Amino acid sequence: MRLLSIAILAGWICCSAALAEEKKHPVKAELLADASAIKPGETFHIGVNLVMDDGWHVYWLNPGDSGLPTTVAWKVPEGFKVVAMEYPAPVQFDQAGGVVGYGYRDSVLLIAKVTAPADLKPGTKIQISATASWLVCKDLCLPGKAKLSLELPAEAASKHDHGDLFAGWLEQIPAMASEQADVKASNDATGRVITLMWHGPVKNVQVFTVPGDAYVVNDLKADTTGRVSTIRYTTRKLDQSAGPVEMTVLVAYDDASGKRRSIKLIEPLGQK
Amino acid sequence: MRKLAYSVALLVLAAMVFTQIAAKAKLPDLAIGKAVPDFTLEDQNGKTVHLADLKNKIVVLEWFNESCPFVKKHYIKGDMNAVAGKYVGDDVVWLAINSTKTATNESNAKAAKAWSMDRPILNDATGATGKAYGAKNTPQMYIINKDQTLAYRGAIDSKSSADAGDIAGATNYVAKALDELKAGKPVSEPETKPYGCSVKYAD
Repeated sequence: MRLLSIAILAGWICCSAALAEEKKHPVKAELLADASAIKPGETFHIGVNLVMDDGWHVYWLNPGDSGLPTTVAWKVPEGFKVVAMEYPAPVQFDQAGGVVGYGYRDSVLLIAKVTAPADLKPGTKIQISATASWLVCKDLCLPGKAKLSLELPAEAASKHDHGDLFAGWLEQIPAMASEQADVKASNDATGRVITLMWHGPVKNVQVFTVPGDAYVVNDLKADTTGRVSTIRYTTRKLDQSAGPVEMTVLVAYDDASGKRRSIKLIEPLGQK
Repeated sequence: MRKLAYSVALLVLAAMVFTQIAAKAKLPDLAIGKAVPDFTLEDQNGKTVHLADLKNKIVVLEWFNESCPFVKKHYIKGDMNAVAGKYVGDDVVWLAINSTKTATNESNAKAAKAWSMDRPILNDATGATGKAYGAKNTPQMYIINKDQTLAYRGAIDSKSSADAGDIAGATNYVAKALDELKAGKPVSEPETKPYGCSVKYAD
């Protein structure tokens, strides 16, 4: 926390409509890094940490029945490489009236991987920035946006920071399914059936999909018995002009040590 | 930081346990071309509106919540009023429906005044009509044919954002469908994915 995690919190651009009540925005945003000094050529992580007030949530890539995805645009100095990582596994919230949402309660760290140039000169100040935007909801929804920045020094040796926070969220970023399970997928009379034969014990299996705008996924179910999970769903095309696409299916689970993890599969949509 | 990471993990787990206990009601998906559910609701002036009385008119339903940023998006610059104003007339009736648990005729009247809406905002604070239609979002749009079958359901337009700046570059699906219906043509995109806030139902 100390040292150089100078996270500058910028104001949110929020709801300026006639009927909005002025209240404190329920999300606090900070830009953090898992290093407090950067060595030439080193790869490190940066992350936007969103901390929500009690009972509020922001949304995953697919927000579910309502909401908007949380997004981050990253900016690093010339010569640095930045790659946004996938979102950590979301949780499902069942809202009044059966409206299902996918996202994060309490907090989420959205992470990017940064590689410093090999010819980075020690003593240089590295300016990193991120623009995050989100929709946060409880009894009402508020859009939020923050422009965040962080300055890190280039030094001959790296220094680590925020290790546990980053490690905790990095573990929840989806791995390819084949790393954790043998996968079989087919169609039967009821729809798509995916069988996962896990390599280790799992608990609390939950499935999320990202069908996009042209398709909907219905009747999504996951049953787990021992080390076998069976996932079923049906799909329907909304936009008749849409061609076949690929859909990410994310499966979140607790591993043998009780840690929340996830895997992903790429599934076809709209194939004949 | 360690403590924070652990408490985050615990809270995530707590959330998952909670969602597994919560009961899952399923909202219906109304089919295009099928008869729509009837309703009788009061508008912001206490006047009763009965859908069955509007037979032989095209009826647009707009799920509404004045606190929702996606709804505001379509009102702060008058876009929703402009689209409604273009079509409302002898043939077309446009009804906003507020299924928010806290909605009252008074709160609806206040919203109508603030945004210069000269059409009914119906009070469905019980959520019964919203649930019968499977409304999940505000805004979410339905167009009902003159024979009271469903012609369109889905989004107001093609850009799912809460930014009013996106309206100009979006296709307004409702305007497009109304143009087609008025020209006696079938609706070319009868179903789209709605976007917006969740309807804040009472239960």
